[in-house]
Amino acid sequence: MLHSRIIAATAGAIVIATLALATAHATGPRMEAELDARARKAIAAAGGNGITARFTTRAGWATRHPLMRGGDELSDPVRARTARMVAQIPGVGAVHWANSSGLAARLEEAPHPLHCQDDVNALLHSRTIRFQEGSASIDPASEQLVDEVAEALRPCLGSIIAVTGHTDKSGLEQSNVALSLSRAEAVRDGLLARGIPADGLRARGLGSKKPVEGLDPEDPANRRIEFSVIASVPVRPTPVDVPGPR
Amino acid sequence: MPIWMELLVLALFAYGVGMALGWLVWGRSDNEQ
Repeated sequence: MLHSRIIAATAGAIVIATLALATAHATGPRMEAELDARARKAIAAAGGNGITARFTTRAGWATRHPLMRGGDELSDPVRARTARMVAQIPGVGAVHWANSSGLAARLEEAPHPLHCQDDVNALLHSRTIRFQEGSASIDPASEQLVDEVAEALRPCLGSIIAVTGHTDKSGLEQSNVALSLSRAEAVRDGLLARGIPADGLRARGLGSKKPVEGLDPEDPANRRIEFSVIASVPVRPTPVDVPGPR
Repeated sequence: MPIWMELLVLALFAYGVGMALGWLVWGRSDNEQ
């Protein structure tokens, strides 16, 4: 009884496997031709002249994971952009380069601060967000500056915006850290109230650990709020290989 | 990975899941008879 069941299950598996292989054999070439045509268009759109994407494995089977080669005279960003364009074609899996190496991943454009960072720095260059003495409530005179900062950060929604509070070295470090944190949180709340979403905002307090470069740690000018905008990198479901060094 | 291998793995996996479900739902009571 058990024996016949095992035989039946195995026979079923063989039938399924045969069906899968027959389907792959029947549809593989068409899939390959279609992906190939779309990849050509994507490569042309990305400006990757001379780059080819091959949708066959070394043994000649159709695959949805292309191997890119060529375009050696093109710059790495152009090649990387071409690979990403090819990877975005529906149905395409992981993209690999024929000449890639382990170093390739590190060459990919690093997440860089967006221009909002510069805008905010420019705003805070001559003015500072002031707080009432020893407290974490923003001075009414600085509310307008917070308005402007929120406005400058708006184009970078979707990025991580870090709000960091600093103090000078006077007083106990422990209370300095607590005060810088609650001041950073006050600014974060101010930004929240101006419509910047909470999930992109991070507040932290460093106390007097990082004085302004070239300033005495005791100098009251060290009391400040800094903003850093970090571009968020979208999560990719499949790896996109970028060309390695040549 | 060639497409036939992806299809093969997927189809056999689905077959295995189907067999396991079938055994869970009907197979066990069948054995008791």
